[in-house]
Amino acid sequence: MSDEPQIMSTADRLVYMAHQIARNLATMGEAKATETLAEHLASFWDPRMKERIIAMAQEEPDRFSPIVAAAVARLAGGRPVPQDQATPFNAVDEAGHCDAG
Amino acid sequence: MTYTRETDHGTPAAIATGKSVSLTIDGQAVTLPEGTSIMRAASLLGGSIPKLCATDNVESFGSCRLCLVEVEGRNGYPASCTTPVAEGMVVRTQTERLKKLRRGVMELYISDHPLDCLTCGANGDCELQDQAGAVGLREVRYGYDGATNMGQAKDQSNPYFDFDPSKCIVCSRCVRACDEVQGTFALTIEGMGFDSKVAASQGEDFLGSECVSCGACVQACPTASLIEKKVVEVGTPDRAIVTTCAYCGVGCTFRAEMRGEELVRMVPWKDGKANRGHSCVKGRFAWGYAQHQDRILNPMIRASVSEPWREVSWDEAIAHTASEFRRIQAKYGTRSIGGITSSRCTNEETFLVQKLIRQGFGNNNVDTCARVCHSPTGYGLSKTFGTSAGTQDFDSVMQADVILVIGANPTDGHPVFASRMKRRLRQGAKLIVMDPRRTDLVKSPHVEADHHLPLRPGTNVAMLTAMAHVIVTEKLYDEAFIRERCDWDEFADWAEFVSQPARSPEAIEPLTGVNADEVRAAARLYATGGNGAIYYGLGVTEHSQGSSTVMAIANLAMATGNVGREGVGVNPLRGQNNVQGACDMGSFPHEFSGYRHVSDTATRSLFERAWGVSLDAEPGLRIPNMLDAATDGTFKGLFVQGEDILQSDPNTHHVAAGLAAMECVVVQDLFLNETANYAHIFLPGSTFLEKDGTFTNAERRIQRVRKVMAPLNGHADWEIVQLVANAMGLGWTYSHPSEIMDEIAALTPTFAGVHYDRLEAEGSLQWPANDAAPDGTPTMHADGFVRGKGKFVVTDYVPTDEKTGPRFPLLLTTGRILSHYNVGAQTRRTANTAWHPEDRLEIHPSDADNRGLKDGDWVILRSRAGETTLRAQVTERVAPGVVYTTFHHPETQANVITTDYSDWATNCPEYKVTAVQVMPSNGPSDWQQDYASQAQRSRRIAPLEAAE
Ligand code: SF4
Ligand code: SF4
Ligand code: SF4
Ligand code: FES
Repeated sequence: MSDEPQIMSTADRLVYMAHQIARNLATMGEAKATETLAEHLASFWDPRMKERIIAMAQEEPDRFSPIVAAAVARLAGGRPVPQDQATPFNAVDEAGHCDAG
Repeated sequence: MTYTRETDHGTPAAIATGKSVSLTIDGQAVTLPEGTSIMRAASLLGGSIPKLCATDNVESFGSCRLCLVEVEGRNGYPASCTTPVAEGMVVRTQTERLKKLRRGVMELYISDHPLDCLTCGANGDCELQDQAGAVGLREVRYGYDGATNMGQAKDQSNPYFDFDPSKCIVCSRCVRACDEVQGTFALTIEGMGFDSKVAASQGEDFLGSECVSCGACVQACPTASLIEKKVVEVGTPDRAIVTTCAYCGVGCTFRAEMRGEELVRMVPWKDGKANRGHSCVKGRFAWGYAQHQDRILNPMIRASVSEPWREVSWDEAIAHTASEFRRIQAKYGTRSIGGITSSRCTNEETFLVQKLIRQGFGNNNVDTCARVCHSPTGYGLSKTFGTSAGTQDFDSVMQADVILVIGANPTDGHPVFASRMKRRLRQGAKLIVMDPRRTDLVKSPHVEADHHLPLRPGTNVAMLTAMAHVIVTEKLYDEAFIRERCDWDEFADWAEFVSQPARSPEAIEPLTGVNADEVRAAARLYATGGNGAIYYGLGVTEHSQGSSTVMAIANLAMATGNVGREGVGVNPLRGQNNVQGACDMGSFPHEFSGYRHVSDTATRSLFERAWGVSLDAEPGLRIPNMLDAATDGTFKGLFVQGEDILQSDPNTHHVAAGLAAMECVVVQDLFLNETANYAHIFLPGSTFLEKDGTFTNAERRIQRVRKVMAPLNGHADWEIVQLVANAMGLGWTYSHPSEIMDEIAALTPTFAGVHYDRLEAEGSLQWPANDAAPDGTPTMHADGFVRGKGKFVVTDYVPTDEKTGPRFPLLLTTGRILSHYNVGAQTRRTANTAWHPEDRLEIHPSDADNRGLKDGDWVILRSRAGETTLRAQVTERVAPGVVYTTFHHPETQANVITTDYSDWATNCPEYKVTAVQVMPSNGPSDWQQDYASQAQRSRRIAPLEAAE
């Protein structure tokens, strides 16, 4: 087992995070996983993180799996439509349409 | 304000049967629920029958015979505490005969009791004194030498209360409180007759016994036999103010009993709906930190972290904070600064910090300590049910038939709720525990888990999917519920997925290490055993698949129809006192209060109109991303309120590097915490005793925090945030936290009905509280899920990247214990250190043998992230291959070891799984020594220069 660095660089971490999310969405099938990943990045990543991963996808495409590459391209093309629009709110009137966390 | 004790009705309320009976007591007619005692009935009418052995926290016992009454048509003199009311009964509580009998009883008690009332700590607050007065005792015919317990030594071993056997009247109230209320069974009555006496765990002293120092016995004791040391020291209280505990998410309410400005004791409030008159050692006793000498009371600044601190005026500190933040933004851009809200602070304070950031900093770089605990709960429950909250109130557990506890250790982490749960288990509810450790719940007096699934850390999703496999393939699911309440097609997809042979208990046994038959039995029990209730903790969330695990739990509950009524549900046991509230208040970088995304135009314009600025539609940085951006040079300033990220967040080296790269770190806290070692500005904070506000507990219950003394630092925390905001030109004009709550209500649909006058009237409200639910919502999703149809989400098991191997063969998991709280900033500054003076590493005997380790030896604990040293505790509580430690002490810095791996959806750190090696050692590591000296240097405060 190799000595891993104690602190990942930001670039490595972004690539790692995107692929980790993709692995957890993989059972959805490629098309839906791509859309969902793009939407996830749009909803939860700060602009500098998005810019960075979009730039990296162009500069170092080898580091990206097909799903992640497609999702990042989708992100670069504009804000993806949320995949998980909730059905209308119920009587208790909770705003249920977004993800905490 | 004058001091009165809470009314003691003598016996608990009857268990509701829906039937009532009518009777007369002393000529007054009354109708009451069946099963009520005569004693309680008389008390509810405003009378009080003399009593000694009865108190309304515990079942009646009928031993003292002081509470005799006459009942027309019955022979003799029944004890009113053990006699239930009956239809048409005619009761007399005060007759010549009764008076004589009671005096006789009292005489016997007094003859066995020291008569040093004037110098007794309980003088004026003693039921024996009161009752002697009430029965008109004027002489004792037997003399005063019947006393055989007199002269016995006091047991003063507990740091918070004394036991004086000579004052004991052997009423057993303490024993029953320990058994029934707390569920620890630490006390017994030893011996017979005059020789009988109370003993803690067969003759040990209290500290050495199983006693967990909850104080229920002290509260129950009618005399000075069990008494708070503080009452002995200060005297009895002269006023009481109801407030809420600032430790854990149970949210116990207390009467803070004061003498002048001095807190004498905290007495759990019987009307508190979360705790029902009970508490744990932390809330009742561990508040001494509020006056601790380490508290910083003056603002301080310094140009660099290598310099000593310099005390300055509030004006200078606030002006400096504002100008530093503005300077950094001018140089590095709007998004170069941010802040962290605290789950320790009030809703109002948290709301103000995120408002300062969104309105004043002009970005969404706000995050909160919930990032590192329950952010996956937010994600997972929002996806499946539609909102980020537990579904039940705590009372609901009393209706549960099968209780499934996953990755939680409630007897240590949520003790008052655990006591309630144990009471239900003693009544016969079944228990399944899914946890790598053999926690106390698995086996303790009168409680034993029906199934313990000691899974390998990191395999939660595989395990829960295997349970789903059993439920689906054996057709144990609730089809009617699913068809009505959930999306059937999504259910069908999910059912197809979990039915695959690869998901069966047999297939995953090699991964989880848990016997497949046991998993099948547990799944069947949960699905078919009646009301099934799930309670889970950080053992679920703090994993690389934390969010998936939460969704897997929600899937199980929906599949079995266990959502939407009393006795069932999905219940995250929240860690900190206000972690629910901090999340509700918009502390996350992507959402406003009430969980509404910042990109939602309608919500954003609501806030823009209220705050008079345009707001950023892009999500901000999460804590770990803030630290990354700092090392990259794009994030330069941080405002941290009441959180110690250096100690509590994972991979300490990463946190330290991020903080060190910033130009201005502002810490607002009670103490110079570890994060403050990297701070440039320190703003002293106030304790929960010194301010008004609200906390929201794990049941979504919003409760008042009330100021009982003036802030030693001069300002409540909300006032300090307002000073900073106004120095940045925001023009805030709040004069009381109630006005902040009014703003929250106006901007947040789920809080629309939450105002201080309602909280005063109701005691508490569970959100959503609005026009649709004016009295709040004890049970969520009763008529439909918040999102509409419940959503089944396929959760595939993806193993963590943190792998064991030859160099790091063991798995470390972390947690906390009863007497300490998280980073221990408060509890380490109280006498609670009597129970846990240091963090220890739990290791299985076989792993210890392999390494030649004995109990108490120093060991090096090493992971890919770093290493530290601590002492070993050899125990079978942990399975072979697993080690466990707490993170309460900065000397240990367990987070030097934890890695940067985190939940895929929320970046909640994977605290519960770290591959480690353990080796013998001689003492603290180089890093620990370096750190200790750096910390000491960094905490220097320059002596004040003499005034000119
Ligand atoms: S303090 Fe609590 S645990 Fe200890 S003996 Fe009293 S009731 Fe039992
Ligand atoms: S210690 Fe107090 S509560 Fe316990 S038996 Fe004695 S008098 Fe009663
Ligand atoms: S720490 Fe938790 S359980 Fe203990 S008193 Fe406080 S709120 Fe209650
Ligand atoms: S109070 Fe009823 S017997 Fe003691």
